[in-house]
Amino acid sequence: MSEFEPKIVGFFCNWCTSSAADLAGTSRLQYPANVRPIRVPCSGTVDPVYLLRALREGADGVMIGGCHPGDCHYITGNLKARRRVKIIKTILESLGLESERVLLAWISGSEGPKFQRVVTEFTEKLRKMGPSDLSKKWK
Amino acid sequence: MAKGILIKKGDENKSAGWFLAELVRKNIVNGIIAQKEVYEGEGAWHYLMKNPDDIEKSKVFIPFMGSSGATVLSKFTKDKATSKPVGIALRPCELRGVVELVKYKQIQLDNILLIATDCLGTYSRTDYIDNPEALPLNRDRLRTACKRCVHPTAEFGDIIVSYLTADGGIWAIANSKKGEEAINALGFPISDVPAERDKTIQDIIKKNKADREKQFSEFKEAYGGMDGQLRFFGKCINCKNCMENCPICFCKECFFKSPSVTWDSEVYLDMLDNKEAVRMPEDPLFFQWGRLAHITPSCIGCGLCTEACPVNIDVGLIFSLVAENVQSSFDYEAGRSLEEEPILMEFREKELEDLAE
Repeated sequence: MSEFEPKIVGFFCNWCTSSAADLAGTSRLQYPANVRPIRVPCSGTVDPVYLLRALREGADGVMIGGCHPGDCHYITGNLKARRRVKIIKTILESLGLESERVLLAWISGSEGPKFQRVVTEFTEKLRKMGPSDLSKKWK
Repeated sequence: MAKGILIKKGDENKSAGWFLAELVRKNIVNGIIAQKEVYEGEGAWHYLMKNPDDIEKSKVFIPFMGSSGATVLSKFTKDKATSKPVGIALRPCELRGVVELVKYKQIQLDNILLIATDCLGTYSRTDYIDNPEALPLNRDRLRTACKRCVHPTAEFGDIIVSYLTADGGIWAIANSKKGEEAINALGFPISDVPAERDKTIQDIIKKNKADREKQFSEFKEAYGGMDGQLRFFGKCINCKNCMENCPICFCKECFFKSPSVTWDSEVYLDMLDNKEAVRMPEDPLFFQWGRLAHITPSCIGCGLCTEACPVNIDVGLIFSLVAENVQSSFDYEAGRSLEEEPILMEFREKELEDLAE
């Protein structure tokens, strides 16, 4: 039987994490192909409902990649993202669900190796956790 | 010690009505918004009234919450502050809703005299209409939201109208400069409010806190985890009444009413490549979780969502539970103060530093 491969939906900021993903690619740094990147104008544009929808529609993990605090192209977008991720994690914890399936990472445009490390570690963690039941439907 | 005027004109409802009417008679306000039961036993609704004889018959202490006064005030002053002074009688939960909506710029308080009434709880609307024999207050009949309410009296507001320790009358207590001016202008003797009032309030809070913890732990026991969530929201019919009746939900264009939540047939069919079944026409769990994400930062726990649910899901219970956790993690409490910025309007560079990789 083949090993379980988690699906990850990544929301990556146009100004940092998306470039880091490109840099990892051009530097030939291998990272798991489990992540499905979505390029967004800023991590602050990601409404919590997008994360919840990804989890409900079958993602085993969701990830937001934004600029380090203080580096946001729009001044405070990443700080908004951080508060929203905290809210989502608190909701999931309050309902007895797995909040570890939501990940926030600060990865600047020059941090190709960090992108590789974060994605590899997150994939490993989700592999160990097994398939998500957050997408479970009514039978 | 708090100071106020003691009014006894029959029972507490009549005394409060008389006090509100006096505010109009003495030209302190031009009109009053208060709950009034037009047809006996059919429930009380908000009316804007100018005739003192009408205002005297309002029932501010009726254990029945028709709609939220916060919503009423938001419709009244959203675009423009009122040009003439108007007083509005509000329960503590309605007033906390007003505080949140002011911060979101949905209410303008200029020329509004906030009259905060004590509230020991209300009955479900259908329960009240079935059996309007309302007083004395029966704790067993209270809505679940009222049993777990830890705000029987308001901290905020211009005048607090209390019937605790007033022996069938009411105390009108000044709670702000504006309120003090209004009370002084009425020209009645001002005396000390008995200290027992505070003790009575503390006793109620203690009792309700115990109920609150019990409700929350029972909920987690029964509906925690994914299977519990599917059971809890399984009967949701997607009518979105909970959203329509929520005083905090104010967006003109709602994500959950947009075309983003339904697709055309091809997309649904494609979904079946990866799934055995798709809940039609939309996923209630996504709607409810999404609304939790949007509303819990400012949820005041009034429980009107539960009241609005046609299939008796206690939506307010899960919202109160999650809201308590969300708000405490930011050291925020919805409705506590006008000075605090709402959770999603204030961002600090140095906070939550362990959250991100």
